[in-house]
Amino acid sequence: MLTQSDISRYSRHLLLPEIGMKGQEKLKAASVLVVGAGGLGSPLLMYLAAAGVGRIGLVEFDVVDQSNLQRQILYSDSDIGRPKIEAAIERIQALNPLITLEAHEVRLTRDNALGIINRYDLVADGTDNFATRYLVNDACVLAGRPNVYASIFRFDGQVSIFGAVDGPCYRCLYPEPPPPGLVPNCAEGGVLGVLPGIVGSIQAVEVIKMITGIGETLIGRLLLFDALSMHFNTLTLRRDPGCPVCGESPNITELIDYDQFCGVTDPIAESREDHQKKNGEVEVNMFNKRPEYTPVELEARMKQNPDLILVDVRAAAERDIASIGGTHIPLNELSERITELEEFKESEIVVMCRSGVRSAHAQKFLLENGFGDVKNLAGGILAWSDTVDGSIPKY
Amino acid sequence: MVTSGQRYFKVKGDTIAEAFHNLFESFPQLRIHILDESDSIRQHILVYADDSDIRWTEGLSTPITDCQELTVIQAVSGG
Repeated sequence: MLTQSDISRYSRHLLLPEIGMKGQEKLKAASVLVVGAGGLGSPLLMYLAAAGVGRIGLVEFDVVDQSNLQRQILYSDSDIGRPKIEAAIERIQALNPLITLEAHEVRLTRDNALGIINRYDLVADGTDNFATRYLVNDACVLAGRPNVYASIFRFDGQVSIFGAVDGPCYRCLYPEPPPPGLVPNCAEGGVLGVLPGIVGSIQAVEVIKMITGIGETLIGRLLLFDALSMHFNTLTLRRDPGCPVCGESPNITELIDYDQFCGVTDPIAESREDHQKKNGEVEVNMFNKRPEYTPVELEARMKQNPDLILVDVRAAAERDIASIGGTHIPLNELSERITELEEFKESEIVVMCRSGVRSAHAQKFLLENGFGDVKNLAGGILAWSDTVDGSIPKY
Repeated sequence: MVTSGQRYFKVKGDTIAEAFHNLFESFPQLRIHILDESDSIRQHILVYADDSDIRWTEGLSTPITDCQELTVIQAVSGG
């Protein structure tokens, strides 16, 4: 039942014949789990709260970073360094004190996903990595919860609804994730700040339509949005009868290891294990990893060895922001362009990126392809800025 | 970027495979993003001929007609 306060607050919904009192009561009785309170989660959470969705759960474990503020409009400058979930709940509850908010300050994992998802009527996925995308998809299919999905990259957005009765799931479209390094994430490739505002708002519309049962939802359709050309397009989707999770004979009947499925590895930890295996060592030793230079060591080494080959594996746009020179071969082009480094196979090569993770992948790749002396710049250009040259901007 | 920012292309070919082949002549680095080592469409790529997912037709052998629009999209994970 709607209270007088509800009626005043939601009057513009009540005036819509498609929603009216019944639709608003459905919204009040509904529960939605929003996974990720970032770019998509910001408008999504605010509009769902403003619309009067009775109970909203948030899954988020990150803290607010200055680089979030270009698009994550839930947060203010004064929130930098605060847990996102704390700042988000404060902001959303201030927007609408009539609804219930539930904080899940955890990383969603195969161990906790079903327990959390089962508490809600439907899920809205606004996460930022493939492993969690597949986890949310599989958990929603197994729990029988529709998953209102959106994702963004640079100027493009995709929205659909997966796991609904008779509808396809995420795996029906994308049976496997891209190989690691082939598709950059927003931290590597960038994203237009307004984009999640538009796409997350569309996601909110679909959640509201699912709850109220109005209109034509995006079940069985993929909405594509191209902000550069300002084109909206929809593609018809089919449920895959051979889908391993929602098909006729599924072989995924419980949640799996999604990091492994997506090829997500910590190349630095992995390098340690490789080294230990090679040396027959059992004990974990922090120094047993593929060779690396700290920025201070690299600076000294560059002075000693002017022939040292520095390879920057970041995207071109990143080099425009901050650069310490070197040959430029983006990580996703390295396998195609490895011949450009052929003459340096016996030379000392140092690979670098923003934080040292992509370059660790590049290091592993070069070592596996016969390069004899490849070192990683530990901490990347961010660490260089911190310890060698503060005039190099951090991004 | 592998296509220097270009997002729309006019290509010729009797089949989707031929159209891709001609596209890769101009943008060789695009190939690795669309096809895997066995020249199959990567599992995170969708190719539509107008509104048909070619996985449900004849795949890369699907014939194409004049003025047909091919849409190639990749899974993205940003949020």
